[in-house]
Amino acid sequence: MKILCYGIVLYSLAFIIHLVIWKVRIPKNQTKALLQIFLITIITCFSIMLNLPSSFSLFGIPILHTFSEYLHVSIFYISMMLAYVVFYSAIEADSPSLEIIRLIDSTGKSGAKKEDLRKIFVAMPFLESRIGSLIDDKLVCEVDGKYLPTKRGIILLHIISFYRYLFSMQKGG
Amino acid sequence: MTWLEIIAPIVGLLVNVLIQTTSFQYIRGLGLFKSIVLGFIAGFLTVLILEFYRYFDFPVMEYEFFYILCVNLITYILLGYCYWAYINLGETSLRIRILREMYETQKALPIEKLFSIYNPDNMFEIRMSRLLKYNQIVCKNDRYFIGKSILLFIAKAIVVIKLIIIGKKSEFD
Repeated sequence: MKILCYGIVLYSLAFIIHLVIWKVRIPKNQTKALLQIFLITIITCFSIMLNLPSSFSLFGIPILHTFSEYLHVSIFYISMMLAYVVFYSAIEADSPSLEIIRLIDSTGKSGAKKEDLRKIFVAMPFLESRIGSLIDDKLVCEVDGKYLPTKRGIILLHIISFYRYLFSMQKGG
Repeated sequence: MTWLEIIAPIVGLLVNVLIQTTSFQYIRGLGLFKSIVLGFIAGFLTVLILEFYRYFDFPVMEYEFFYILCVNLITYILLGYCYWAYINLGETSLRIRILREMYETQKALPIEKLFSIYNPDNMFEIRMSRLLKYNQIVCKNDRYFIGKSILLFIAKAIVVIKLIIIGKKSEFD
């Protein structure tokens, strides 16, 4: 009960802080900002809890006492944090396939002509948006109007590509 | 609290990765998707077995066992989701494919070159073919309609979440 409650309370607290910050101003590097918010929240809360008297309780649930309880809450919290960061990429950037689905849905029962869909789709700057976010995340740099991956970008690429190299998978669409 | 109940989701994830990678490599005709499902189920069962083993080995109150089981199953499912996203990232993420293209050509690329590789017309055609292939959209008399409603549901859900978190329906608004 303790682990479930403290994990959810800490996650909810970090999520509310994230929402408040996003309402004020959306950070340039959103993934990095999200990770910082979630990590600072858990570190701060654990530091406070460690200094509270052992008789203290939150909504009638006794405070965490042992190292194993802190570790268990951390694993639960970090899994929720990572899953949210992964899911957030779908919020941050539009999916081309889902945009097509939305466009078709907006035409209702009359359906959509392929050429009409193509015109709207081609006007959406997916490529520019992705290059912009790669630059914001310092994964790519621009030199004289040309684009190069940075060291950080190459490291990320190696981590992500490890699986593909292992199984020699084909390129996606 | 025992160490077994803390590390159960991590052991589950390791079993997931092991089963997924070996089955994908060695079982002919299994395919990536089925290997991911197989790995996920194997990891899920591992978490359940470890939890019940610990319960019979070191009995606790039933409600306490239930809460810990919930925490560990949620943790495992979220870690499994992150692993699935990791496998798919190199496959589906436009950002990663652009980064890979820049890295593999070993020289700085101008935007025109990237446009020729990731031509919006081609992107549109590839996505339309994929959506038709999986019956997410259907074509009747040269007009396109929504087929299966699952992607439409996901698209609508993401729009609602976007409105709550970033205050707009699309990154291009």
